[in-house]
Amino acid sequence: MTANRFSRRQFLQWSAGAAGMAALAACVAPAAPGAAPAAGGAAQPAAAESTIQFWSEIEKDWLEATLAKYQEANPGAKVELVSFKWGEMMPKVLTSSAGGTAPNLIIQDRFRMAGWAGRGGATQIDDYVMQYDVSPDDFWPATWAEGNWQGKLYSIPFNTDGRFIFWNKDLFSAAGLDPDQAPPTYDWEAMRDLAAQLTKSNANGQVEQMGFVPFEKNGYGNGGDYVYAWSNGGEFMKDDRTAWMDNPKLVETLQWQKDVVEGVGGIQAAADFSAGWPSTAGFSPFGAGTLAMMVNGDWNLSQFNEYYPDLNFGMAPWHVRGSESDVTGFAGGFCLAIPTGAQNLDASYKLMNYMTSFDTQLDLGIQRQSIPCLKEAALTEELIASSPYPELRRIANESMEYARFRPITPVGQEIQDLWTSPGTGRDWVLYDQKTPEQAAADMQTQVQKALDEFWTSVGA
Amino acid sequence: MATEPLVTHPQNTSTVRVRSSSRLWAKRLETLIIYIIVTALALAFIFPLYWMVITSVKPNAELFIWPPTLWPRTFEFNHYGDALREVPIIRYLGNSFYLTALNVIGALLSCSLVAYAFARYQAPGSRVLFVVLLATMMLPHHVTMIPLFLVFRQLGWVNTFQPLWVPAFFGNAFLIFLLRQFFKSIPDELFDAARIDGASEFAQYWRIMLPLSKPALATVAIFQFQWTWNDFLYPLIYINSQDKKTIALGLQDFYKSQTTVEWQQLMAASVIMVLPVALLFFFLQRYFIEGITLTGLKG
Amino acid sequence: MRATRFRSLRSRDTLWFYIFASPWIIGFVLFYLGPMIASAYLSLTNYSVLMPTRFVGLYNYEQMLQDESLRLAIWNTAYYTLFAVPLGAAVSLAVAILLNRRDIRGRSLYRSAFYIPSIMPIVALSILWIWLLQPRFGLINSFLGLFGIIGPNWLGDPAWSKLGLVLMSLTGIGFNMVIFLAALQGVPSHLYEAAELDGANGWQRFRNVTVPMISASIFYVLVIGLINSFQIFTQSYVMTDGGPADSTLFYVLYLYRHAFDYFKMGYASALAWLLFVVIIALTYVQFRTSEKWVYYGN
Repeated sequence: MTANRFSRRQFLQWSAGAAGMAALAACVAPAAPGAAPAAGGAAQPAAAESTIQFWSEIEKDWLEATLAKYQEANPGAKVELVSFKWGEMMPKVLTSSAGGTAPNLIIQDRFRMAGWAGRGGATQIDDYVMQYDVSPDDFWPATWAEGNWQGKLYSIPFNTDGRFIFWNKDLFSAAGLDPDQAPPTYDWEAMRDLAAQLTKSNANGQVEQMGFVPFEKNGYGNGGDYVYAWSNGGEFMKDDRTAWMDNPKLVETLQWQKDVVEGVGGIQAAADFSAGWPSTAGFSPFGAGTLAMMVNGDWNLSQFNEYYPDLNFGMAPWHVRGSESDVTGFAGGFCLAIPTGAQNLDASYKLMNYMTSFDTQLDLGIQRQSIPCLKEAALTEELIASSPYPELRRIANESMEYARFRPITPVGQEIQDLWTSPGTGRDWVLYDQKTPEQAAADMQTQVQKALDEFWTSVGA
Repeated sequence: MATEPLVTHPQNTSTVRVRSSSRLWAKRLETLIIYIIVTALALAFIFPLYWMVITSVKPNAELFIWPPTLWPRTFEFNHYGDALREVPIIRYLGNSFYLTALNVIGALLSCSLVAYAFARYQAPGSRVLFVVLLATMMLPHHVTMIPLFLVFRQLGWVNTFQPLWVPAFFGNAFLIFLLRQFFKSIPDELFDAARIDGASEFAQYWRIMLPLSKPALATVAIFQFQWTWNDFLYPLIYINSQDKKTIALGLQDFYKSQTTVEWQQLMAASVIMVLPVALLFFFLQRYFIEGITLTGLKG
Repeated sequence: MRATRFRSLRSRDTLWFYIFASPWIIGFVLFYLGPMIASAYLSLTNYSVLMPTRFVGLYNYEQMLQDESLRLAIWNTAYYTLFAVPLGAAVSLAVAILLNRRDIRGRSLYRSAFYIPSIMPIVALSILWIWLLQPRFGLINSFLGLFGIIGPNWLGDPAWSKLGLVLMSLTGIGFNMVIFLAALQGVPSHLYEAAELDGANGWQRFRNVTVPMISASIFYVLVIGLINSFQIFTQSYVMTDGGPADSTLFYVLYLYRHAFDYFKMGYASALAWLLFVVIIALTYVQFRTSEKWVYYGN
């Protein structure tokens, strides 16, 4: 057994090697435990009292720059930004809330507010409005509305985005259509036919050019599902306690979505065509010039300019069904909110006020080509002119005056999952698993059950 | 690669010359076929890394085109510099190295001890404890995450590195089970002999079991390294400052916004992140090749 | 006399068992026991993390009986496991055996090649696989096209999406391969030589020497494969979001949505405990059947 001593030495060598690595790394990383401030089980994250924790899953670079300016202008203020990938922050927010170590301020997806604040996740901030004399009328109505639940205010709108019909003018010309005429979104039958007319398949039956696919998935667009429902007069909730997923208007919408998909070759052909495109982040078959129409957000304007500068396209609001004059819109976006149990409210308020001030909001609009929630900033000519497509930017920003918002309900996420993304309820219809009526009825059962459980759990 | 000299085994020499040479040729043909299969498969498996590297040097215009380019038309190497400039990758790598080293030490020490207990001793309750050990792997961590967070918060460890390495010194069920399987394959006679020679229980563990389990211990080191290196959820939950992020968590910094992702920088950082583990594996796997001298001992 | 000696041996064993096992026992009490009990208790409440919690008895478990999506999630997960675990074990064992051959030069490079994909960050891998599985231009369907086969829309067709993820799971065979390689080192070469002298062909040597000698590791790979595969989450979370038409709605993804999207941690805990019971039952079956075929060298 002569090998033993040797092997043992090797075992130690690994350990020593690893320890050496640790020592080395400890030098590289001053944030090693020894140097870390002891949190000592206090209810605050490890940070000096004057430092506030600010968590965001959007706009990392812009926030860093803006917070640097803020701290320069306010020598006493210290802000630590922690950024996340979109969609990854909520588990952490919930966990830290449970542990009483919630951050001082977060940027939250607005449609989640009712579900989160309604369950006690957010601090009520009516005080803030008083203290800083904030006027709700200064903000776009839809964005302000989403911060309220049961008559109390929980968030201040930060940024927003609209949804529009985009069309490829070159593909319209090639099909003998007037490229400068927006598609007839008020006429659903015409849209169905136009979608089919603009679809071209190859000898193998594969779609080479897609006309229009009215649902949110893999580059077919974003947020359209809500727009179609609203334009048909569809509502998702009757009141705070009653879901309305079996609304006949929603059944009609599902049927129309299915009809359009059938018209372009069916769901398999549509899924085949869109396979491989990312669902967000710049790239899309529309930009690549193979999708003739889509409903998507105004953020595409700056992305087209960056990734597809030669794209020849139009953009217009979606019409109310049957009306050539009335339009509808969708306001998405984020807000600023304070988790329950966060300390140092004054510092959070101060930062909140800075983030929603005219100068900051204008800078956000110009730098990030995102729509400020502060009306005055959104309508500033300087911002409009900063867009690569000023006329379209104007349409987008002005649309916030009439834009609608997703249902304010503690079951907003359930509705979103069924109706839009991943769109379970819609898939039932598209994949022929259920009729639109059946799908709507089943969605109703699910959402109503979740809603009843919510109201039971709050003891009302 | 297929033209490499072939190894002949001395015991293959046969008295009949013709048979011997035809057998030799069959052997060579077999080797050749194996080479072809293994090389083809290896190329397929190395493809993800290749793809990651070429994506990190593609220009925007080439990122999403169908069919994708397998060899970029234009090379843009600036994404590496940009990634290093925009995100403190070196700092994140340092944090990851620090945590990984502690985790590997902890896992090697604790898991081998505990596995030795389960492999070598029968005791009242040992079977039940083994079931409990296995059970800890079976409850999805999404539901224990918050209670566990409360434990660490009680200890005052939120936003420190402790929750990310201290548990490693108390064993990991996957690795204990793995080592136990290996340890159980080592013949009892070796230990009986040592026991008669007066070796203590600890000496048997240290002088017999560990040296004979080098491949398994190397496996443990590699797995623990890889898990800590790639772990995302726990750093996400426990780390509250940018400068304490690990590299796996830091990759998120390239998701600038819901609709903006720095794809090439993300890929460049991923390449930087994969290299240390790949190198570690390359050097540690000598322990798989070298093998152990079990045969001689057994005879 | 004999009995005393036996007893003292046993108590000696007991003492040493608990000494050696103590790190884990302490760690279990510190870090696992509390959270496990907590989650079991929470499964009997309407815990939402944020609101005051109320005890609801077996309500959550009763709800599971009527949960249509849950049945689908169980079906999807079982389907995935049934394909992914045996396939993953077989392919990784085959690769390990090939890479353990003495007549292959450059084995270290080959082994590294097979191992590398299993250490790549999932975001990078998922983007790659979305493209590999792309129906028209993806490498996999292009390869099938060489043989005149028109490949399916792997991730976009509910009938194929789970199998697409099974294919993707092969990326991770490096994990099992490492275990098998380590185990193959423990197979004494004189056994092969003896079998060869007895005229055993390659398959017989594999069947009668390799498999029994590494059965402990095969068993490990199957048990861990089952445990991991029942908990498949990240791929469907990142790549398919459970779609299309809920065809990749796996158990833990469903659980995750309840825990963090719908604020129903109580229900999620109940789901977790059902999964726990299922996995432990299946593992028990595996252990029982293992007594027939796993060989521990003694």
